[in-house]
Parts: sequence; C-alpha cells; structure tokens
Amino acid sequence: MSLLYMDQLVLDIPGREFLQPLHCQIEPGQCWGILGPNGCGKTTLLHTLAGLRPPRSGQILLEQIPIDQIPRRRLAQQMGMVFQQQHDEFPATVLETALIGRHPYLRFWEMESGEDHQKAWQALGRMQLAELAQRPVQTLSGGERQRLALCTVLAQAPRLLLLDEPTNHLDLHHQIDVLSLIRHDIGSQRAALMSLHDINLAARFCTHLLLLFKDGHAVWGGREHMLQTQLLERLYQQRLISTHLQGQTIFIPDPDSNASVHRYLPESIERSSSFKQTA
Amino acid sequence: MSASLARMLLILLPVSVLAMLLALTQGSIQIPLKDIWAVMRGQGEPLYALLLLDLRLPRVLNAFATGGLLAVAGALMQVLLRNPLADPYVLGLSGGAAVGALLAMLAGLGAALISGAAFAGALISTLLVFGLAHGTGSWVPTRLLLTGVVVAAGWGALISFLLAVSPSHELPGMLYWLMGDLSYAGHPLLPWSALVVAMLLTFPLGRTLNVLARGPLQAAALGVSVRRMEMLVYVLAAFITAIAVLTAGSIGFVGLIVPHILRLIFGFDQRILLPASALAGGILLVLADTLARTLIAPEQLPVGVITALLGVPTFLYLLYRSRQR
Repeated sequence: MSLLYMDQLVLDIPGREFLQPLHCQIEPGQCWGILGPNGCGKTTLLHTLAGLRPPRSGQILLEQIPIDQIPRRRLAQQMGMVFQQQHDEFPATVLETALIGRHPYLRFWEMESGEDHQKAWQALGRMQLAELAQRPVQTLSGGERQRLALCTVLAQAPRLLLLDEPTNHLDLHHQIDVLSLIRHDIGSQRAALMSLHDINLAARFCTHLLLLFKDGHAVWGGREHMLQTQLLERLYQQRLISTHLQGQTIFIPDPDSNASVHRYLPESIERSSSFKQTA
Repeated sequence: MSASLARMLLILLPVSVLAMLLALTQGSIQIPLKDIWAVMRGQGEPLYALLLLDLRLPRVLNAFATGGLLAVAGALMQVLLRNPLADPYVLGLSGGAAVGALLAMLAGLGAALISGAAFAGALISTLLVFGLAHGTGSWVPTRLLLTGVVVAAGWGALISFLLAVSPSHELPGMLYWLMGDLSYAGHPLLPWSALVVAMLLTFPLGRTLNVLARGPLQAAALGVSVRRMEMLVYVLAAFITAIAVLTAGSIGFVGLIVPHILRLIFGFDQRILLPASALAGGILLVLADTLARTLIAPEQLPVGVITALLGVPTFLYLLYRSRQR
C-alpha cells in the first residue's frame, strides 16, 4: 500500500497556466528528491502535500485517505514538515524547540511526559545539539538552527517526512550527516520527500526523483532513470558534464560553456515522460 | 516545566500579597498594618474600616485585576501578531473605547453608562479591524497589524475632534479617562471574573500558543487548527482588554512591558508566561496606583502617567542590557 499518493495533483501556483498533473506514489522505504530550478514549485509542492495549501485540482491520499479529511492533529502524527525558514521572533531554548515536535501527540491540557523529553533529547543527541540544549535559539548559527528544525521533526517521528531544502546552511560534513541520518531513519516503514539543489547529493541519497521544470512539465521515477545528463541540462537550462567516481555518477556545470542550453522543447519531454511510473 | 511554574508562583504570589498590603496602608491617611488586621477581623476604628473597605480595598482589587488583564491581553496579542512589540491597544481597541467614553461624557451620562459606551466602542473597533483584516486568504499578521494601526489613527483623530469641541469643564475628566484612572472604577468583581476566566481558558492552551508563536505554517504542520486558535486568541484578548478599559480607561504600557520583562526572566513558555503576566501586571498596576494616590496627595494623578513614567525607563534599560549580553 502506498504511503502517499498524488492523484492527478495540479499545484496552485498563481500566474502559471500550465502545470502537468502529478500522478505518483510514495512507498514506505523510499527517499524522494525534488529537483528543479528556482521558482518551479518545489516549496509549493511540499506545502500542498503537507495540507498547508489547497491544490488547484486532484487530491492527495495518505494511506488511501484524502488528507483534507484527516484532522490536523492526526495528520501531524503521520507527516512532518521542515520549512526552509524557521520563525523564532520569540526567545525559546533549543530543548523547548525540539519538544514542540511532540505537540501532535499531546492533548491540549497535557504536559510533556518523561517519554516526550526523552524523545526530544534523543533527537538532539542524533543531531549533535545536546550540549546546546539550554541555549536560546537566537544564539545558534544558521546550520545549527537547520539541524534543530530537523530535531523537531525527528521528535515528531512521522511516517512521512517532508523537507524543504534540509541541507540549507549546512557545512559539507553536516550535509552528509543529516542526509545519512534521514536515510537511516526512513528504514522500511517510513518515507521522505525533500527538495534539494544539489544533484549529487540527490544522486547519492535519494531512491527516487521528481523533476519539476520551469514551464510546468514534470517527470518522476527511479533515480537511475532520472539522472541523465540531457534531462538535467534541460531541467536547469545549464550544460553539465558527468563523470564516474567510486561507482557514482557526478554532475558538474560545464566549465566551457556559460551559455544556457537551447530552450527546452516540450516534445522532448514527452519522450522522457515514458520514465514515469518506473518506480 | 512544573518546576519553573512553581518557582514563578513562589516569587510572584508573595509579592502580589505584599504589594496589595502596601497599597492598603498608603494614601491620604496612612493606616498601620495592625489596624488593617483589626479591620479585617471586624474590629478597629470605624474611619479606618470605612477607608479600607469602601475605598482602598475595591480600588486595590480593581487595580490588580486590571493590570493582570492588560498584561495577559498584551502577551496574547504578542503571540497572535508574532511581534514582541504588540500591546493590547495595538489593534485600535482603546481608541474605539475612548471615543465611546468621551461621547458618553459629552452627553452628560453617568459612570455606568460611560463604561457601557466604552465597551461598545471597543467592540465596534474590534469588529471593524477583524472584518477588514479578515480577507479571503490566510490571516497575515502584518495585514491585521496595519489595519489596527490605521483604525487606531482614525480613532485618534476623532478623539482630538471630541476634545476640541467639548466644553472646557469636561476636559479634565476626559483627559483622566484617556490616560487611565482607577478613581471611577466599578465593582472589582467584573475585572476579577474576566481575569479568572482568561486564566482558566489560556492555561490549558499554553502549549498550543507556544507552537502558534512559531508561525502559522509551522503550527499547522504540528497539528494546530491555526485559524480557529487565532480567532479564539483574538476574541479573548479583545474581550479582556475591553473589560480592563471599561474599568480604568486606557492605561498604557502595562500590556507591553510586563510580558516583555517576564520573558527575560522566565523564558518563553506561555504556560508560565500567562499566569506570570496576570500576577506581575497586577503587582505593577497596584504599585503604580499607590504612587498615583500618594505622590501629590490629597490630589491624585492618573495612573497611566505613572505606568508610562515607570515603564519607559525600565523598558529602555532592559533593551539596553539585552543588547550587551
């Protein structure tokens, strides 16, 4: 049974006439990456899947139930979201911030139990933030805040993780660390869907990819079908060169050409949409 | 969390009692503590009994409850607008109340009707701001804030107009009302019941408010029904502010400064901050009112002047200190 099913889902992006309906399913154990240029709708897709904004048409099913029929609190026990930006106008400590991940499990009059505290501490430990537990959030660096946001969602422990650029602000070591952790956390019961800007990180950590083109087209499927130089060049309007290194394909921008790729042709994407549903 | 709550209560409850006792002893005539004790037991001098039971005690109780209401309303508004600088009046509520009260004074109505008119004005202002800011999309704090600020400016113009056309013998009463004054407060039962209701409602919602303060998207992703919660907070904050305003006019600064100071001491958890605001707001206003009654006794100052005079330097000092840390 699929964990999340996008049923002819058309995102609601203002001013965008054509958007190809998304029709894909996320199974437990899968780690999906969303790739695409700025403004292609990655964040909108994640927000829509989290039920934070309505789609233009189609529906989203979480374990075969349309998400708009699931009460918010129940939904928050099933899926968690890490946003691109965290709002902390008010002072709160690192521990308090991790603890709010337990909110969906508590009735409104209940206090956090010892078990909730334990889960928050565990999450802080896994993100190497335990020593900072009593620090005010405002004193953290951008990367530490990003890891803290991941702590909150780890404490929330949903079956589906939605992550909007989880590697934002992270140094090289923590990028690998965080993505390995997410990958490990998914196991065989959970799934993740994350927007990424780095093709090579996506290639290394994602099992599946969803490519959103600037003109509204989309393709999705297993990573091996999506990681093709031509397709990625069209995606980013940028010439790429690829090389193999220790069994992995690495893509880098072609240093010889700063010129963008010829306007990408819709018919060529029709061809590549045969990759759909190869998952 | 429960340890911090206990610590907060252990500090603020005794201070509340001490502040109220101090306020009872001070005034045009000083009453020693032992005489207060005697009056409370039903003995003691009749003059003291009259002074204490008919004048000072209701006034002190009114001051405490009004201060508590304003501070809680301020704390709620700050969460709702996600802006630490919001106060209970930021959405124009006090302006509406003031226009109502001034109109009632101009018409020569009695104290009860002035309060009623103030409440009606506050209600109209609340509905106006809510109706205008409540668009089709989500409830953006900046939109709400802007609407409130502009509506408040409109009320401000009306207030100036009313002051300009009022006969001069009405002006002192009007100015006292505008600055906030406890002399004409009614029975303390009304603000006290509002305060108790507010506490009973907000304490269990404290954790949800903590989440809401992190932004509507994050709150929704954590299972909060954001729209419903925001409505509840807005209505509750407006209601208790209106009760405070009809008790004592628009006393400034309590609602801004008390939650702010408390956040620096007790942290951000609303389950501690809201009850702490109720107590500390009460303490501040009781002390400020005591000063207002005694500084130029037997004349009285409007208490709003004292809260502002105390509030401005304290606030600036705290801001300055937090910059150094």
